[in-house]
Amino acid sequence: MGKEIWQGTLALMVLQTLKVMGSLHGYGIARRIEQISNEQLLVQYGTLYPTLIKLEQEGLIHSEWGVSDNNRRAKFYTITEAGIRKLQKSMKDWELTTEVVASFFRLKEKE
Amino acid sequence: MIARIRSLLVRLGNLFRRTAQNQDLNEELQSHLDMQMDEFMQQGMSQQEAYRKARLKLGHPAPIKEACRDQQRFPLFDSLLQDFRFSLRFWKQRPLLVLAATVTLALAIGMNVAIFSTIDSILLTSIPYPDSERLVLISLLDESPRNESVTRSRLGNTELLEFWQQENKTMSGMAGYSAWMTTVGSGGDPERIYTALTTPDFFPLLGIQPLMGRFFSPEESRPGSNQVVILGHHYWQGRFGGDPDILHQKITLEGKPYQVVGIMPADFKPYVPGLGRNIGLFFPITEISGSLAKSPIINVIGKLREGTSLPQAQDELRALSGNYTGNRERLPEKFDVRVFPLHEELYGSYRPLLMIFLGCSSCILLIGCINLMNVILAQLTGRTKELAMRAALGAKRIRLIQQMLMECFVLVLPGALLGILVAAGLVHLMVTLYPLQLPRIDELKWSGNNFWFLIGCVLFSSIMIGLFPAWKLTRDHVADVHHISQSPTRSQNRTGAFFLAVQTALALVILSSATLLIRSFQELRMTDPGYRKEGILTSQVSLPEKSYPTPESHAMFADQIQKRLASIPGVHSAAITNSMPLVFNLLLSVDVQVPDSPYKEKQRIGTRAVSKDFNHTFGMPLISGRFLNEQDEKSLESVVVNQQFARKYFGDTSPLGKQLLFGEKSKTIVGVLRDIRNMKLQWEAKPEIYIPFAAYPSSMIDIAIYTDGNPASLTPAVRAELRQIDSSLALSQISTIDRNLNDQVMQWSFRAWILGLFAMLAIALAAIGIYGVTAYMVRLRNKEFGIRMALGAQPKTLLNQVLRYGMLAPMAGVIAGIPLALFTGKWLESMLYGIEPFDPVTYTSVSVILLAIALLGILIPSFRVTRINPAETLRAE
Repeated sequence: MGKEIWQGTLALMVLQTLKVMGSLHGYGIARRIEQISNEQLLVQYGTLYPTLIKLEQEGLIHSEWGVSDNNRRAKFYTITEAGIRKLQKSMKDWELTTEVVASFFRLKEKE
Repeated sequence: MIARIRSLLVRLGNLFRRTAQNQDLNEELQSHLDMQMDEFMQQGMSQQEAYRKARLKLGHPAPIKEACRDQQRFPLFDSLLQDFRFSLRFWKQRPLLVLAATVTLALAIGMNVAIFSTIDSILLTSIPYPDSERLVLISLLDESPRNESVTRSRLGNTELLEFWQQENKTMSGMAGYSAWMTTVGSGGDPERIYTALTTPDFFPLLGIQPLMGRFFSPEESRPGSNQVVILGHHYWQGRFGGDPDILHQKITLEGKPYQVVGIMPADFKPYVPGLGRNIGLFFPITEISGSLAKSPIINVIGKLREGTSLPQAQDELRALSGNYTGNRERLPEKFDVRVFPLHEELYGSYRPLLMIFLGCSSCILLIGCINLMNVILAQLTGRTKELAMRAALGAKRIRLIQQMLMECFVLVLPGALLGILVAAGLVHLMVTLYPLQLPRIDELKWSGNNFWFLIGCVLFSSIMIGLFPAWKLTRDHVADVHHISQSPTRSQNRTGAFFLAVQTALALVILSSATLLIRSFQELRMTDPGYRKEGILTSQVSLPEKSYPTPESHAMFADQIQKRLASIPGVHSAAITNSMPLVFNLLLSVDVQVPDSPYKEKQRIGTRAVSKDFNHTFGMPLISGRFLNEQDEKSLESVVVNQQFARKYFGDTSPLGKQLLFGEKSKTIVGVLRDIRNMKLQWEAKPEIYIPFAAYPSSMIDIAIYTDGNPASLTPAVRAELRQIDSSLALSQISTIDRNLNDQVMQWSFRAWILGLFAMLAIALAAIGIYGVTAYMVRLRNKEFGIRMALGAQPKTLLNQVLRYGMLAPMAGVIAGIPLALFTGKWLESMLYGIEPFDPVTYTSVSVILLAIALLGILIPSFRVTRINPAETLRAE
């Protein structure tokens, strides 16, 4: 079984996915995240949909009803300008954090 | 941050489009499921298989939807709303309980809100002048060595004020004013009205604008300038019908023409010490005339410069006054300067009383809440099952507590709303019965502060009533659905007893405070003032300087009016004085030497100038010697002293025939008069001298007439006699001795009334509480008693046991309450008269009364024990 994802991290993944893929529905986002992680990550729908609602409330994404490739009615999400800005900032923060943590771990190995 | 606010707004909006949103979510999840199925079917699964697996992968939709809804809305709000609806249904089935709670809380919360609204308007509302928090009152502390004690004193001349005004750097302004009365209406119907004398900066300092015209200019405030006057709004309306043309015209006051330069705004109220509400006329302070000119009393107010502290200002004025070399006339020989915040000066003295009121009313709310809490606790036994079931279905403990608190909130709500009406009624009653006993009572209004206080009361009551039962219930029973006990547990007994003891202690504190105040009021009312308590008409005449310029003319007028008044049919005797007991609360301070006494220094002694028959009119018995007679009024060589004087200066020897030195003049003591209560009914007499009016005549003449009948009915006759002498004079301060005495005890009666009201409610609530808890206990132990009776126990033994056990809590409460009550009594000390704060009789009787009431409350339900039918109880098992 795959690993579960924290809500905060999931939000970032959603934003990144939407930035790369353009417009996508909830199911698509979930499948995409699972595929990219080689089915290592398992998206909890009880977390995904509230996350989508939260991002939309904060104005980071935007939703619209549309029709999918295989002719299904679905709600499509797109990232907004504010969302892109937020994503860039979060990515910087993320890199910084991982770097610090990584160097911290390296320090441990030397000893 | 912006994202958060946005999110909050969206959620708020969501509250109004629930259905659409639910549908949206349902569709979204359905489309998710469909797409998942599509994918599985592409992988070659059958439709049924794909459907099953897709459902499996998505999981149960309910928790997903719930999580989404929580995100869309406010989960706490939703659950509160749900609890609110549940609580409404819950209480609908228990109307009697709701009624009891509503009555209790309406009274308790209503009292609290009423008391708070007076506190709000007196202490918390600043004086309605701009920057009023910077306004201060400046007083002199008279430290003259001859003064027995250091007293506050006002300025006796304006020079010191002018010196301060010029030299100080800590005040943005200073002003002086003096209260006065003026005779107006030179026609056939003269009357005396309240007036004020002010320096030109008085109005600008208070930040007031005239309705019309202007205030005084500095030039007009110099002696010898044009005579000008400003009309009070009320007087302008009443006397001139609000005619704007009166501005700049001349009006004649006390025989002199004054030009009207301004009219005060309608909403002006003088929030300064010493000035009454209805000031009809304002004059420049240089218009001081008549007897006021001899001993002006000038109040000084100032406004601190921004950023200046009060101690800084005080230090500066003190230092300045040390360098003052100007006119020291009518200033104390040695003095210090004190600066007081104006608001505190006006209303600070009401704080202890108002705090006592608030303390008592909040205790009452506490007692009421405990009663209701007991009811809720008693209900718990019946609700264990329901709550345990809910817990088993997954409700968290905090959620159950939330629900119970919401139930209490709903229970409190109607009482609180009704409490607003009770508060309004109580305030109305207070204003009607005691209009003058609290300041600013006419400004009482429903303010924002009151609203928050009410909300506070509601939350306090809800938590007080509900938190303990909720905590207890969820602790005891949530875990175990099957553990349902119908008999009282040990801890239930203990907590019940504890709260009963608390209630008794609180009731004891309120009851003892009320008793102390009520007995003080009674003592004061029964106090013998040393003179007649009825049958005397009192009034005042003021002689204008123009027609009565000299002291001789004052003395002559006094002699004339006294003789005329005494000749009115039905009048036993009439007298003149310069100081009416209990009305004009200042005696002349005269420096006297008492050669034959141990005191060699000059003594400053309160002296009253009186006509002959003053003792007869007031019914004051002579202890020895004789009173002043017509002969003395001519020779001015005799005086009469009071008992205190005789005791202090001559001890056991008779003062009769002893000499007193008034400056160079020597006068003989011819009689000793009984001590009387002079300024305040509660103040014991000090050494005093009675001297013929002609020796110290004044233009302000108090008259007193003793008659058998209704003294007030003599007023027209007195007016007629006055008109016979001088038709331009007016009577003022017309009153009777019983009314003056009554005015003295009003404040005491007011306190006693409020505390009495509190005490009655406190006792009633405590009694209901004791009765309720005992009745409940007896019912719960029905089974036990039945079994014991079946085993041969006597009903009497059981009854004894219940009584003994039941009385434990009230007794503990009394024991715990007594130190608290003593502490409160000590705090009340300054409001007591004729009774000690630790008066043992009060505390004993109050304790006995409370225990008796407790016994009654226990006895009534206890008798049920004796009627238990053991056979029935056993069958019920």
